[in-house]
Order: sequence, then C-alpha cells, then structure tokens
Amino acid sequence: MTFEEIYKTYWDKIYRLCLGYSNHPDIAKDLTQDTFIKVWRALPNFRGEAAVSTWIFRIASNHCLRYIEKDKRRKTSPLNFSIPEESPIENREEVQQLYKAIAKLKEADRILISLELEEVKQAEIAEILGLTEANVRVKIHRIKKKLLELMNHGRV
Amino acid sequence: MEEFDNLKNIWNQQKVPHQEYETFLNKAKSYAKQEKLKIYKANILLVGTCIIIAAIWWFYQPQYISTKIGIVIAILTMLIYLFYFNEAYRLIFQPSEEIESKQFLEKLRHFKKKQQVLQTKGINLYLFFIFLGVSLYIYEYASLMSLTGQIITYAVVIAWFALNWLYFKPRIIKKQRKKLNQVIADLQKIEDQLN
Repeated sequence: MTFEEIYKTYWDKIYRLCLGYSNHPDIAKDLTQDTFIKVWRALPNFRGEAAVSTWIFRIASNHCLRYIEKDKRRKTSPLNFSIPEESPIENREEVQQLYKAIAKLKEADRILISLELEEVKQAEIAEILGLTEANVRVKIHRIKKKLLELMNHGRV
Repeated sequence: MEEFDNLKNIWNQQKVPHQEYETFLNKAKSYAKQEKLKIYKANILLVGTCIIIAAIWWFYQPQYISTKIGIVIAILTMLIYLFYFNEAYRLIFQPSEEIESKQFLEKLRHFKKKQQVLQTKGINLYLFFIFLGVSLYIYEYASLMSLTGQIITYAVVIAWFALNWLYFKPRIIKKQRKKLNQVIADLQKIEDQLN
C-alpha cells in the first residue's frame, strides 16, 4: 500500500477516531495530521508485522492517549497546519449528542468505542490496544450499555 | 443491539474536513525540513561555541591552565545541559507509537519517570560544573588582585552559587516535578483503565 492510498483510505477513519477521543474539531484535526505525518515518516521502515490498518490505528490511538501530556501546554498545532473547511463540521443535534456522550467516557473507553463504531473487528482492537479479545468483548459490551444510557436518558 | 447500530449510522454522518493529498504532502515535507533544520542549528551552535572557546583561548592568552579548563567546562556544561537534558533526550529515547497501546503507555510512563530523575540529576550536575568552571576561570584573574579584591570576588561567586543552589534550584525542580508527576499520574490512570 502506498502512502497516498493509506492517506485516502484512512483519513476519515482516523479523523473520526481523534474526534471521538477529543470531542474538539481543531484538536482532532491536529491529532489526525500528526498521525499521518508519523505514518508518512515511518512507512519506509514498516515491516508488515501487523496489518497496515492495525499499525495506523495503533499510532493514532497512542497519539491520542498521549495528548494528556500536551493539552495543558499546547493550544494550537506546532505545525500551524490548517485544513481548508470544504465541508462544515456536522452540526446535527444527534451527531453532536453522540460525540458529547462519548466525551463523558473515560479516555481508554473513548478509544475503544470509537474503534468499535468505526467497525474495526474486536480481534483487531485487541491487537491495537494490547488486550485479550475476551477483555475487549467485555469492555465494549459495558461501554455500549453506558453510551446508550447516556444517549437515551438525556444525561449528556 | 439495534440501537447501537443506529449509533454507528450517526457516527458515520459526522462530516470530515479534507485537504488535498498534495497539500498534506507539502506540509509534511516542510515539517521534516524544519526538523532537519533544528538539528543543523544545534550542530552549528556546537561548532560555533567551540570556535568561541578557541578564540578566547587565542586572544586572551590566559597563563594558567586552570583558566582554560574553566572556560571549557563552563561552556560545555551549558551546551550539554541544553541539548541532552531537554530536546535530545526526548527525541532519542521516547518510546515509539507503533506498539500496542497498553505497552506504549507503560513505556511512556517509565520514560517520564526516568526523565524526572535525569532532570534532577541534570540540574545538580549543571550547577556543580558551572561553579567549577567559573571558579577555575576566575582563579588566574583573582590571583592578580589584592587580598580584599580576592575576598570580594570569591564571596560574590559563592553567593551567586548559593543563590542558585538554595533558591532557584529547588524551585525549578519543584516545578518540573509537579508537571511530570501530573503526566505520570494521568498515564497511570489510563493504563489502569485498560486493565
């Protein structure tokens, strides 16, 4: 897979994952952009020990999770990257409500549920995060319940 | 879970801002260039400093070897501290993001702990060697002064060192500790969420 193919195939998925984690369009843009720069730089050394998608989702998930060390000191992207806003961020209430509900979850749970919503197989999620498949299944079941509760009972 | 499938539909309705592949590539390349430039700058600074050391040596012709050693120790200490304990250490030793998240978080937390120890050791060594360098440097010039001059000179140097060691150092360490402790605690928290 060339980098261009990776970029075109995974941009949307990674952006949604980053938005699920951060619930902030600007931060999500930065995180997505940074993830692809890392992928672009690391691709020549990628030895294919994991599937490309697993590898990319790992970089993206780890990059999101380590954002806690930056969010207190970084207000904007150090790269000053701007993404032309061809299409406005979806403002439909139910989309906003979903992202708000996800934002109420714990950090790791946000990653887990975003990967599940992105329809990544649970075996692959286990590989991305370093958990057992059974553990992923149990966790996702619990998070789904909590998320639906948050959505249905208007506790968002 | 039909309801959850509905959430998947909502999830996919989120519009994603795009940018042209070429635009991304240009920006990524310029970022890589900037990174390279940083390394060049660091090297230029290192070479430049060596030239300054040589120039001081050449033009001032200090008589004592202690003066020369003092200059070298003080300037090298500043450089090593700047690069090793700040940027270089982070760039060289931080864990790769290509590994499983659970392992990554653990490695990152250990890295931060090590960084914390190094920062404390670093600042102690930094102050010690700067003091040593300055003391050796002034020895030659102080020895040409009157006794009162010598006393004043050494008193000023010792007071300056004491101020750094007793006042600034604890504050810097406390500030660095606080920042890193928070990051370490946050990483531990997320690690626990994955257990």
